Amino acid sequence: MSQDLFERAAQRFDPPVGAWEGLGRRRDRKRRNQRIASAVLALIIAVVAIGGLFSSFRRGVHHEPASPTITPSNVSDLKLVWSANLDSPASVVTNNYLHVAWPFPPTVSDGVVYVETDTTLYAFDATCSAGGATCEPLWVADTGTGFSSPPTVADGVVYVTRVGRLHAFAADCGTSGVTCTSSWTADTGRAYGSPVVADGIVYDYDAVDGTVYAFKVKCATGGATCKPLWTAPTTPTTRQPPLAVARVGYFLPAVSGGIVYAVAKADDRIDRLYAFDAGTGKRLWLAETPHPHGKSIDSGNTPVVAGGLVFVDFGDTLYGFLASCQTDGGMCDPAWTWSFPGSSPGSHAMSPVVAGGVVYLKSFSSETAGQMYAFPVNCGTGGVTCNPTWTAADDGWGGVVAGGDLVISTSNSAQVLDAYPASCATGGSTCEPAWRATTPTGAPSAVIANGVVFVGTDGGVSRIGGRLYAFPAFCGTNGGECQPAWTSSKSGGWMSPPAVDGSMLFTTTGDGKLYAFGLGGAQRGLSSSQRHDAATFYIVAAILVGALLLIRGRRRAITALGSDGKAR
Amino acid sequence: MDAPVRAVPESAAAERAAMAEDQRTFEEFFRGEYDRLFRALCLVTGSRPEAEEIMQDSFLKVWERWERVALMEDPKGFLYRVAMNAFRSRYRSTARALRRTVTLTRADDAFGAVEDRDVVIHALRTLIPQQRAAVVLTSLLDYSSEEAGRMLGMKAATVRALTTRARASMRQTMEDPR
Repeated sequence: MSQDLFERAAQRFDPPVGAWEGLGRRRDRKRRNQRIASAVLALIIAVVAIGGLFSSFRRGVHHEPASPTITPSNVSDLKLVWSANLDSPASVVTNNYLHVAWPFPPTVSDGVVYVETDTTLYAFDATCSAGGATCEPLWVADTGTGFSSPPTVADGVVYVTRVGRLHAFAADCGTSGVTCTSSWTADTGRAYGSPVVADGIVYDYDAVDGTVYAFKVKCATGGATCKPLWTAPTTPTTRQPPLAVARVGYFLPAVSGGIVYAVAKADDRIDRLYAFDAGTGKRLWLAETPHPHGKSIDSGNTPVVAGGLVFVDFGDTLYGFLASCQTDGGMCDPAWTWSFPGSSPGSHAMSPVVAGGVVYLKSFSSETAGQMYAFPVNCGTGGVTCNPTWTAADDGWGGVVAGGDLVISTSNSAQVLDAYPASCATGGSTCEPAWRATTPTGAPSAVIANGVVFVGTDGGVSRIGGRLYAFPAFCGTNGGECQPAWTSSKSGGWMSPPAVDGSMLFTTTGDGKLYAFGLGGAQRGLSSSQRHDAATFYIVAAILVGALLLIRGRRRAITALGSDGKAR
Repeated sequence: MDAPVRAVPESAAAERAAMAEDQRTFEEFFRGEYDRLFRALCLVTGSRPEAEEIMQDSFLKVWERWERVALMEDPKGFLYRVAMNAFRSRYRSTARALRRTVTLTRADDAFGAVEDRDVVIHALRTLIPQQRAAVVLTSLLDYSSEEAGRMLGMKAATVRALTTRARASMRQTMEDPR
C-alpha cells in the first residue's frame, strides 16, 4: 500500500475556504475570552486582597478571640510586651481611713487600654508592641485636673468623671497620639466616681450634694454640653469636707433590673439607700438606718445587687433589701441584716462581694480587722438577723475577691494572701485557708482570672518595688504556703492588680507607668506592625498578580497581530 | 523549512517591526501547511468539521508561541504534534461521551461523502482511530514510528503494531469490498 494511494485519498478532501481569516476570527474570540477571564480573575484577587486588608485592620480594632488565655499552666511564660509613660500616677484613690492611695487597674475594651491620670485620659493600642517597646498612646484627652477614677467604656464611648464634669469620648476618636476633644460633656455637680452605663443611659452620682444624674448616651455631639435626662435627689453630706467625702467612700451608683441604687451618708447620722426608676428617675423606695456612731462614711458605699436583693454595708451592719421592695417611693425594710459582733464606733467594712450565691464581707475596723464573713444571698426575709455560714480570722485590712470556687482575702498590712474554698464550712464555724501566700509587701486587692490569682503589691512604706504576682488558684488544700507561679519583671511604686484580657494583662503603677505583659507569641489580634506587614503582603501580592496578568496579556499581544501586521 | 532568524528588538519600533515580521512568517507557514494538515486530519478523524476544528486549534496554539516555534528546527513537526495531541484529547473525551450516550450517532462523515470514490478512504473507515492516526502519520506523512509515537503519546513499537494491523485490515477491506 504505497504513499501515493494515501496521497490520492487525501487529495479528495478540499481544504476549507477562508481558513486564514477564520483563524484570525478564532484568535480574536480567544483573546476576548482570555481578557474576560483575566478581568474576572483580577476582580476576584482584588476582592480577596481588599477583604484581607479590611479583615486585618478590622481584627486590629475589634480583636478577635485569641490565642491562649492565661492559665496556671502558661502564666509563667508572661513577659513584658510593652510599657508606657504616664504624666502622673494613674487612677489613684485616697482612703481617709487607711491614709493610703492606690492605683486602679486600667480599663480594657475592644483591644484598647484606657487610663486616666490626674490630668489626662490615655488610650493605648493593647497590642502596640510585642517586643517590650515603649508605646505612645493612640490618643489622649485633657479632662481637667483632679483626682481620677477608672474610665467606663460602653458601646464605643469612653466616659470619665472629673471634678464634677462628665466627659464622653468616641473610643476611636484618633490615632498617632492626637489630642481628642469630647463628644459631649455635662455638669454633674461634685461627682467624682466612675460613671455607670446601662440600657443607653449613663449615670453619675454626686454624693456630696446628693444628686443622681442620668444622661442619654447620645445626648449631644461636637463637644456640646448635655442636659440630663433626669436628676434625682438623695441627701447631701456636710459632715466632712465634701472632697474628702467623695474620695473616702468612693460612692458609685449601681444599676440593675431597671433600678438605680445610690447610698447617701448624711450628717444626720442616718445612712440611706435610694432606689430610683432607671428610665425616669422616679423614686421607688428608700431605706434609712440610723448609725449612732457616725463613722459609717468610711465603709464601702457602693450597693451590690444579686439574686433579687441589694446589699449595702452601713458601718457596722450588713443589710439585704429586696430590689422590688416598693414602687411608690415609700420606706423599705431590710429582708435580712447582720451586725458585726460587739459593734463599736470603729466597725467598718468594705462593700460586700457577691459570688456564687454567697455574700462575703470583710472588716477593716480596728477591732475586727481582717475578719471575713460569708452569708447565703437568700439568708432570710422579714428583717431577720442572719448568721454567717462561715467566718475566717484573717490577717489584716484588705479586700475580698471571689471567682470560681475560691475566695481570696488580701491584706495590705500583713502581706499575706489567704485562699478559702467557697464552700469552706457550715454552721458559722471558722474556716481555715486552703493555702496562703506571703508577698514581700502588702497586696490589698487581687484579681482571679482563668484559675490564676493575680495581686499587685504596694511596695511597702517606701512605695518602691511593688510587683505583680500570679498564683495558681488551686495551690493546695491544707493551708500550706503557695509559691508564685510568676513574678513581674518590672517593679514600680505600687502596682495595681492587673486588668486581664485574654492572653495579656495590664497594670498601672504609683510612679506613673503602664505595663503590658503577654504570653510570648500569643497576642490577641494583630499589632500595628503586624497589620502593616499584612497590608504590605496583600498589596505586594496584588501587584505581583497584576504584573503577571499584564505580562501574559503582553505576550498574547505580541503573538496576536492582525493580518495587517498591527496589534488588535 | 528553514528557521527564520529573529532579531532582538531594541526599541518599541523595533519590537513592532519584529512582531510584524513574526506575523508575516507565520502567515507564510500557515499557507504552506494548512491544506496538507487538514487533509491528514480528515483521514485521521473521519470528520471534516472535526478536522477543521483541530486544524484551527493547532494553528492558533502555534501562532501564540510563534516567536519560539519559529526558532525550532522543525516547526511543521511541532504543528503536527500539537494537532495529534488535540486529536487524542478529543478522541478521549468523545469516547467518554459515547460511553455515556445511549444512542450513538455520527454527525458528519467525511468518509461517507467520498467513500464510493476511493477504496483507501473506504478501507480507513474500518479502522479504529488510533490505527488511522498511526497509518496516516507513517504512510501519508512519512514520519518514522518513533516520531509518530511521540506525536501520539505512545511507544514506537505500538505505532508499528497499529500500522501493521491497520495495513492488514485495509488490505483485506480493499481486496474484499462489501
